[in-house]
Amino acid sequence: MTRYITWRLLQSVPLVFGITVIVFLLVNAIPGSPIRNDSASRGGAVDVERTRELLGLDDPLFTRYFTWIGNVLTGDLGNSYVTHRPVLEEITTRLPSTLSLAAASLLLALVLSVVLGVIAAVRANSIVDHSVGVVSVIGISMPSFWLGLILIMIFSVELNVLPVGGDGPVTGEGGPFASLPYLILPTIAAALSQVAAWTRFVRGQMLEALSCDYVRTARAKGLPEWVVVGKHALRNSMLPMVTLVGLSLPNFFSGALLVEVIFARAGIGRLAYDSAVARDYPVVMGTVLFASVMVVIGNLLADVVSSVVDPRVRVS
Amino acid sequence: MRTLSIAPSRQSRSARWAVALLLGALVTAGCTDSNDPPNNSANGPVPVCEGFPSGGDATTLEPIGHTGGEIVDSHPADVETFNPLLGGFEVWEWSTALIFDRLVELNPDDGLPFANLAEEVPTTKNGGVSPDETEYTFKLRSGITWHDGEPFSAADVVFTYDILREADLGSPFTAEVVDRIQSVEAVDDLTVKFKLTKPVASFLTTNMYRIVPEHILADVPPAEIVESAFTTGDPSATIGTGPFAFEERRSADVFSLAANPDYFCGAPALDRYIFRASQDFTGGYLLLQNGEVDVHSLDSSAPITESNDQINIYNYESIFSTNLLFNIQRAPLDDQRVRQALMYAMDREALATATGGTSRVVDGALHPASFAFSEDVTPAYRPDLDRAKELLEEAGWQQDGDSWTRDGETLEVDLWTNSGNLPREDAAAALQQQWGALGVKVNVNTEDITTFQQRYEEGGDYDVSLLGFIHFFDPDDLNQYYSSTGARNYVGYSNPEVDRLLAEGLATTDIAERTEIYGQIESIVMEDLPIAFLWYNGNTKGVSTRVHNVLPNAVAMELNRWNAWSWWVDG
Repeated sequence: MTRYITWRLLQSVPLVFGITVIVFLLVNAIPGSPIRNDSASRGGAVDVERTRELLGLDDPLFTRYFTWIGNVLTGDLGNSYVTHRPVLEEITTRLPSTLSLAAASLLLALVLSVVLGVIAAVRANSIVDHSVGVVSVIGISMPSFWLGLILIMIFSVELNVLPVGGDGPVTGEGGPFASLPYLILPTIAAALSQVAAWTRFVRGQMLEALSCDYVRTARAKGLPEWVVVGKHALRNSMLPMVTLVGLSLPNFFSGALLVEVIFARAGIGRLAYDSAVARDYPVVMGTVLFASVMVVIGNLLADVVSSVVDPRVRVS
Repeated sequence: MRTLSIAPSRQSRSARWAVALLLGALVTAGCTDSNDPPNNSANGPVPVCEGFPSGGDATTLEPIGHTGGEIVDSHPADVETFNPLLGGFEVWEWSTALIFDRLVELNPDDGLPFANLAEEVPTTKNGGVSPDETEYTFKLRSGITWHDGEPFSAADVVFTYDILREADLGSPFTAEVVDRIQSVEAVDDLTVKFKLTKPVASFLTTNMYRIVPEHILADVPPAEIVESAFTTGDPSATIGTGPFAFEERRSADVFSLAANPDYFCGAPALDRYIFRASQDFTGGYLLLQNGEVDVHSLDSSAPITESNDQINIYNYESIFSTNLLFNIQRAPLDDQRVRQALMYAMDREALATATGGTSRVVDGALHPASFAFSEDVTPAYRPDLDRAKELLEEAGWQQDGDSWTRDGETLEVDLWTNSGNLPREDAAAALQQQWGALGVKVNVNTEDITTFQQRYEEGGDYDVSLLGFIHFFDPDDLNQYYSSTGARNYVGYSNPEVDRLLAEGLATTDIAERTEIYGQIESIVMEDLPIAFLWYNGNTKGVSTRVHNVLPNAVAMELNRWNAWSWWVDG
């Protein structure tokens, strides 16, 4: 197992390396420069040229790339051109916002989709099943930013029960759970489309499991229906779900971008977006590196977990 | 070293309750007659600061009714830097304006300087300015301390202007400092003397930079200042003399400033000034409406235009203009007559209305608040389709049905602007229609702001660029756009007569003489038309009614925080 994990990690090194090369080329190919002729500047071209020189922007592309990757290998992601803070610090200060939203929406999506999927499968082709199906289609087709705005209109503006946006209270002391209300609406907005997709999947898996021989055997033994469904069918049908969740992990980071913007959350998705707009190259590269490492880890975790829970999946 | 002491907040409650309580308070406030001040009667002392303007439209303060409390100000982007020497966009200016001071500031009532860190504004009359106008001597207020308790002195002023000369600092001000200032020296602890390279009429309005602490930065090499704690925000390093001191960065886009009890105008009425990012105008409006922020800039999409029980609306002229850059380097706009025809075909009042703002249309290029501003600039391009057609014919174009042709080519222009800016997109669409009525085909293109900036800054591929500029109140502002070496002369305009007049206008401080000179410049450049100034944008600010003494106006721009030390909130 250790050898397998080591091997997989080694395999991902060239992958991440390749991603950084492509992204580096892409961001530099976009027209526009990180040096803006600032509204506050009165020096004009002279200042722009000097700043370009200070940042080394006139060096050849490959020199800049190797300087960057060399620094990364020593743990230095560089400093933002905009805030001048270390990129690593920019990412870590935003990590809690993104992680809490990703974890909460992942959890919500899992619980809801399993419950709905199982109900739909057990009552296959009933009115309940069809209702779940219709709701799923609506959920898949509803963009998260639109849903986010609707949620804000209902719960913040009309009912005044939840905050409009932000990561937590900015005034007062609040206490450890003060930021929870700020998480509720973004979580729902980020989770719903995933719920819809996963519900269809769980329903399909359950239907297949329920038609298996071991379920018939279990029923023949006279086991209560909830044991048959909950213990035998569900546990077996959840195995492919582990892989699916692992593969969906990147969605919770990329999909969070729009939700972060709508709810004014200071997360990594928004950082990536803002830095791309500002051509803040070190931050763009930093967030891309971070995201690709997260994807690699997510996939690896999914593989490891499924081999642990399902002995049929062999790793060697 | 001494740390700032702030009365501890006793509020310990969940955010949900905070919102509920706040809304409850707002609802209660809404039940009272809105002419009466809500919970508090303003019975405290009227805040006065010696040397500061008081008593004009923009500077008459109301007595302080309550001290303590916090306000949340929302800004549309993330925090950039806290270093006043580096420059950036709004957020940088908003926060550094509260933390750091200049020697003199601009009076919101008349646009002229008033004494800030200096005891009085140097003039030739009081002996502060030498007869040849190349030496300025500032007497500093005594007893001012930095936020960490160290005394402020002339050495800090000298240090600030010296470090600005360092190319390694990467400051956008360096070029102009080197060009205009020969030397700065401390005569004694509280006297500092500037020697200029030449008479600079706008020196007191455009070359006053926020003074930074020598004792913090003296040991940092200039090249390292940009990444130092002073720049990125740290309570022990980001030290100023202003009414508020950097307190903490609460998250990536929320930071707080704490009242400076030793501020030279007296301790601010507020305990704390908090900035948070609100991303966009609409989201920010909802935050304002829900009481989650107290101050927010509104755009035309905001569903309120008048003050109500919860929100006071302030409309004021900003220092941002909306302009057209004409590509004078290539056909068809290399012909002045075609540019003039486009101006006559344009109804700027209708355009300004279409963008939904409260903008002020101008005929010249100067800001209405500038002393040199004139209502009678000629030529003033009033809508006149016949004149426009004449001009096109003079330029060799022939009307051919709905369009114009010359040598088999149809007259059409590529208009570019940045995407995501609603007023500009609206203006572009309206322009397309108005010029279309003349028979000029307009292709409207949008792209993201950074790509767009590169397009026009590098004199790229466009016929007309629709964009905005930020202005200075001294009429020397025109130098940026019309001097052949101007920083914002992106179109490559060059007129020796204009260059000569611009130099002349900067060489004298006589107001009447300067008004005359800049009037002449405006007439020439409006005839030549490398750039069309359409209007100065109106700004709208929404402020929670619990906040008092907020006085937004054109001169103080986003620096309507000039009097933030006297802002107070209902208790």
